Parts: sequence; structure tokens; C-alpha cells
Amino acid sequence: MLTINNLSIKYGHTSVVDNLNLQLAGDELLMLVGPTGCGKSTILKALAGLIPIAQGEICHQQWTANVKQHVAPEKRNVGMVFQDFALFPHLSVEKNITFRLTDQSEAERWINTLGLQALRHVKPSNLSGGQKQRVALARTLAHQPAFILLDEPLSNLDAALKDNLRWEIRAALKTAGIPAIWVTHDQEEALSVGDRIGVLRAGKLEQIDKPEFCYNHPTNRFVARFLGEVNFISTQVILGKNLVVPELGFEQAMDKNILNKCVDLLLRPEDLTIHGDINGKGKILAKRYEGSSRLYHVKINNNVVKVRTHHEVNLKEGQSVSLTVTSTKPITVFEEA
Amino acid sequence: MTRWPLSYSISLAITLLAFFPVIILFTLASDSVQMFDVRNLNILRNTLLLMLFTAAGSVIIGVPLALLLTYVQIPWRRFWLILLAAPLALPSYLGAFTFYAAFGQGGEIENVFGITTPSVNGLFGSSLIMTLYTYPFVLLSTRAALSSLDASQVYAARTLGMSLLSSIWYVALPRIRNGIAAGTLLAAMYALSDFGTPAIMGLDTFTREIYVEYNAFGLSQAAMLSLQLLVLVVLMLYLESKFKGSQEPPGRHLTFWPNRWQANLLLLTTLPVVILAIVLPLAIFFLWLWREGSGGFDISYALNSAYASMLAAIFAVLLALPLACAAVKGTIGRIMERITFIGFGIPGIVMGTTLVYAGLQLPFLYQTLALLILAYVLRFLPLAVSAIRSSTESLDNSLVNAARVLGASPKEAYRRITLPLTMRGIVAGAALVFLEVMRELPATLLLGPIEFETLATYLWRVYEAGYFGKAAIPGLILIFISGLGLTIMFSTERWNNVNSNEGSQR
Repeated sequence: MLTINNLSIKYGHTSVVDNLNLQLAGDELLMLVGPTGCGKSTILKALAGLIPIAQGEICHQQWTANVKQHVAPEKRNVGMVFQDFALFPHLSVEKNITFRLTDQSEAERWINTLGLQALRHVKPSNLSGGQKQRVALARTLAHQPAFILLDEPLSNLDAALKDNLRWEIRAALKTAGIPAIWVTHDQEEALSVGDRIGVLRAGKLEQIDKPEFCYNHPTNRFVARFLGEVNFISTQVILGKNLVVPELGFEQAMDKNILNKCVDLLLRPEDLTIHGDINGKGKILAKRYEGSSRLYHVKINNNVVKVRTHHEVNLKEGQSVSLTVTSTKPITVFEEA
Repeated sequence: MTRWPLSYSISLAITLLAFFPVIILFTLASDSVQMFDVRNLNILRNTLLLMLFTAAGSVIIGVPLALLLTYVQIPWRRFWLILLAAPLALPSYLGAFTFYAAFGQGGEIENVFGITTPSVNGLFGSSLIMTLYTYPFVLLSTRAALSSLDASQVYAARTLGMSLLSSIWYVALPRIRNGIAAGTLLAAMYALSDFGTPAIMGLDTFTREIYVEYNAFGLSQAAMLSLQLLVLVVLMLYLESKFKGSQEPPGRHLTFWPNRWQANLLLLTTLPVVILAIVLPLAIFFLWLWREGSGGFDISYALNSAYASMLAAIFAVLLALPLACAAVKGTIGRIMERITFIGFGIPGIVMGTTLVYAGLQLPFLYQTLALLILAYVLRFLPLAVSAIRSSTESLDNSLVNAARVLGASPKEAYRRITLPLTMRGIVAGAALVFLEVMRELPATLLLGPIEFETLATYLWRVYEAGYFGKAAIPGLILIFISGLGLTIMFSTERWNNVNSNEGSQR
């Protein structure tokens, strides 16, 4: 098990990561997601022992690293897949994979599993982006690390390639049964492949939980916005302990009493449906065609609400509409900003 | 992790060693009776005029050639580029030697064609030779600047109603001023520190006078002159550093497609330069070879040159490795690396003077090969450092990190990843030092052990004795070696950059 306690990292006097706590065990795949510059890659470098830490400790069964006791990267038994693949350009695919291996069988296993048989003697410069990524993954897995760190492994690849590779990488990690931390700035990637996701902002972990929970019940507006398109609908209509929004045909029992307070409801565009309604209180301000779906911007009372529908629902700009909440899950409520 | 790296400690020792000649120079000059006299004034005037004419001449030749070779699609463009940059690789004393022998009454031109030509010597001769062998500095730096200049600015000027020539004059040229200035200062610095050309042309400059004083056992006076020369060199180095690094990011550059006769006409205008700088020296050496054969040339001179060059190259690389490593690591390392560049700024004749004095103080070193190698290493160390540093810098740090997380210790990562991937830079650095040392004249003249004749010193003795015909073989070997140097120069990073710009524009 990998345990990180109160980890802080500084570049000079600038704090990059602040008081991070998390644990990783079994064959879990943890996605660390956040905007550029939030400290994601820095955390990985610190876990690998490539940069010093300013506070806290990183513990593994075989070693503990802290401010006083640095453990060199080669002593940590860690695997790392780099953003730019970091394949040794002067070595063939096979020699990259067997870099420090005494037992060649692990190399053979991953060469076969990841379909690299035909590329054994090829130099990295002659590989495509996807092939490079497979070789980098095979090299890491063949060395049988205790845990694996993946630093934006798909960011240098085409969109079409990314989709397939993210599943391939997940499957390989699960086959190996090795826990991994995968850093990405792509929230879709994080939500789709991770067992858990941790959302980072400016070096702080804002929320860590299962992807669905983070998406539906973000702890704050930043997490809500970062994980997908969102509406914050301000309302004051509260009767007793029930939250009622008549214009959306919506009523929900509240677990805490926020009677007569202004609140914002968190509704994703896909939580709502739209109907053409001459008496509707909403009006379509704009619409956007997205291929499989359409996104409408609807003005209703003082809110502009985004609604995503199937692409076949084709209403006109300026048309009067009514909106309904279709989601059956409990709606997250934030006190008004 | 934040401890003082080993490469810093080694670099510090090398930096102190590099500073050693300057300290000696100050010690030695303090014994000088006279700091400056009327004769100095004449030397200063000659030196400054030579520098000025060389700078002006190299701009007049270098800038139009750069425009031609960057913007105009002439046939065999790469060939012309290499040919016109080639004089840079030739030591100018070879040109001076052959010009001295070819022109004037009784010169080889008169012997062969029966036409009497005026002599080429003095300030005019020195400036002409210097210009012919230094204009490639301006050509290359201007070309690099032009390559990175975005053509859309010129197109914009033209759509606003400017003619093509006006738009180049008003829009393109002002933006490459720094590139031109950087090349011009390098040319001026070469003129300032070269010994062979003014010595052969009979022009009293600092370098020639230092040699005269040295031969007259006036070591202190030679040191005082060296210090004065060093002040000018430092000034030039300072100016040069101001004009560096001002290049714009590469853009799509202008291309003109001349028709066949226009292209031929343009190439014809470059012929005088090619004839004077390359064809004439080659022709003269071949003439002597045909007329006098090997002329008693002893192969041991070439072997001595190669032996000394090889030792210098090995030691330079050994010292350059930790320096390059330190330079990549951080600011202190970079500062130490810059300090070792002093050696490159110290003219060969000055380096010779200081180490002769050091040899006199340490008799076990005096007139030994070791002292000569030390002079070479101190002078040409920056060539090795630059080549190794640029290949180390271009090494992706994540490769070493990848090796470390795969379980390799720092030593193993260096041996298996860093070293093989920077080998190209190491070999290029060693080769550049080797070739420079093969051609080096003034320090070898002053420091060479007795009866240790090299190609350059043999050529010098032949010139002094007036047996020009004997210069054929060493001259041709030196030209061949210079050609090799050119090949390496073209394959180094700076050249690759120019080419990659070209590639992006296709």
C-alpha cells in the first residue's frame, strides 16, 4: 500500500502542492485531474523521488521518504510512464523493455500482451505515437514495479487513438494487478477510466471519490465546473423541508433545513428536458449543434440554463419553451455565492 | 539532493585554471618599463584600422551573399552555401602566404602569365585577406537571422504599396541588424587577434609586435601589449554578447525564383570571392607542388601536428565533460562555463606569451609538449564545451528520469543513457579542437619544444626563409584539414538549426 501523509512540495518559496493526503492499494487506478499548473505532475515526480519534498511523508511497505530521508528513485521500485514516453532513442523496442531486466519472461509477456512482437528491433524514432505509448507501458510493467505513475500518458496522441488506448492501458494495469496513479487534465478521461478520481486545484486536493459521485455530488463549484458543463440555478422557493422549483416542475426533500435562504441548484445540461410550449416561461436564446446532441441556452426567470438534448430535437431560437428536471438522483444544492 | 554537485567542484578547478593566463599577464606586465608610447599609438591605429576595414569589408560581401543564399532559389544552393562559407574554415595565414607569393613583381602571377600585378601587403593587403576569410561570419549570422524572419511582414509592406527592394530595406534589414552586428563583431575580433596575416603582410599590429618583443626577449613589454590587446578583445566580446540571442522565432521566409540567366548572373557576381579566397591559394600550392614536388617535406611534421592535436582534443573533452554537465545543471555552472570562454578570447600569441613566462617560472614545464598542450586546451576548451553542452542540453531530462525509476543508479543512467546520447557532441567537440590545433600557429611558435615542428610552424619557417615552394604539401594538408573542419561545422547544431528552418519553409 502507498500512503501519502501531509505532503507539501515547494519550488523555491512557491508552494506547489499543499498538505496532500491519500492512499492507494490493491489494483486501484486513481485518476488525479486538474487544470494545467495545479501540481499534478509535481506530485508524481515527488512520488518517484525525482524532486525533494518540503513536508510530510510518502510510505510504502519497503521504504518511507520524508524531508530528512530522501529515497532515491532507483530504490523505490516505482514505474513511471512519461508524457513524452521517454523511450531511449538509441535502444530498440526490445532493449527498451528489457532495460534492467534479468528475467526476460516478463518482457515477453508484455510484448505479446500489447502486440509489440513485430516491433522488437525497431528504434523508437520509427514508431507511431500509439506504438510508443505501448512500448513505454510494456517497459514499465515488465520491470514489475510496486506501483505505477502515469503522467498524462495520452496528451501527445490524436483524439481517435486516445479513446482506444485509454481502455488498453486500464486493461493492462488490471491484468498486472498493480495500483496506479494516472494524471490527466482531461476530465472525460478521468471520469471514464478511473476507479477513483482526485480533483486538484492549485496544489490542493478538492475532492477524492468515485467518478460518479464526484460528478453528481461535487464538494464545491470548482469541482462541479471542472468535471463537466453545469447550471447553477438560483432560487428561493422553499416550502418546509422541501425544495420546490415550480418553473422546472421540480420538488425535492432536503436533508438539511435551509428554509427561506437563497440557494443554487446544480443541474447538468443532461438533467433537463426541453419542450416547445407557447405558454412556457423559457425562451431559447441560442442553440448549438454538436453532432449526436444539441445544446440550448434557455432564459428562464433570471437564469440562463443550458439544456442538452438528442440532436433530433430541433427547436428554433426565440421559441417559447418549458423545462423539466428529468434526473431522478438527488440534486446538489449550494448556498448562493 | 540540494548538495553541491561533483561537476561543480571539478568545474571550479578548471575555471581557476582558465583564469590563470590572465593573472600571469598582469604579473608580467607590472614589470614593464613603459605602459604606452608613440610606437604603441601607431600599433593601435593599425590594429583599429585593420579591424574597421575587415568589419566593413565582411558586411559588404557577407550581407548580399546572405540575401542571395537565403531568399533566391538558385540551382545547387547548398553547394554554393558550403563553397561560400568555406573560407571560414581556412586559416587566413594560408591566404596571406599565397597572396604574398602570387602578387607583386616577381610574384607567381607574373611568372606564369607574364602580367605584373601590384603587391598585396600592408594595411590594404591585411584588410583584403582578413575580409576574404572572415566575411562568412557575417554571411552565416545574417542568413540565420533572415531565415527566422517572417515573410508576411514584407508581404504586408508590399500590400501597403512599397516596392520589393524598399520593403526589404525598410522592413527586413532593420530586423536582422543584430544578426549582422553579431557576425561583424566576430570578424572584427578575428582581425584583432590574428597573428599570421598581419605578420606576413608586414603590418605592425598588436599581435605582430608582441611576437617581435618576444623574440627580442622583451617578455614584460610583450605582456603589456598583450594586456592592451586583451582590453580590445574584452570590449569586442562584451559588444558581441549584447547582440546575441535576439533572433525571432522561425517563420516562412521569402523566396524568389529567378530565371536561368538571372541565376547565372547572380552566381557570377560571387566568383571573384571564390577565386580569391579558395581557388588562388589552391592554385598556388598546386603550382608549387608541380614545380618542386614534395620539397623535402618530412612526414613527421604532419605526425607531430596530429599527435599534439589528438592529445589536446582528448584533454579538452575530458575537461569539457564536467563543465558541460555543470552548465546544464544551473546558474553557477553556467557562470563557470562562461569564465572558461576567456581562453577563446585570448589571442594565440598572448596565450603563448603568458605560458612562456609560466614555463620560465616552472622549469620542468619549459619547452615541453605538456605546456603546449595546456595552451591548446585553454584556448580551444570552449569549442569542446559548446559542442558537448548543446548535445547535453538537447537530451530530454525525462530519459534520465525514466532510467532512474527503472532502477538505474545515477552512474548507470549516465553510462547507459547520457553518454551514448551525447557521444555525437563529444566526438564533434573533440574533432573541432583537433582541427583547430592542427592549424594553430602563434602559440605553437612560442611554446613548441625544440625540434618539434608542426605543419603550421614549418609553413612559417618556410615563409621566413623564403623557400615558398616547400610550402606546397603542408599548405595542401592544412586546406584538406580545414575542409574536414567545415564538414563538422556544417553538421553541428547551429547548422542543423538553419537547415530545420529551411525544412519548415518547404
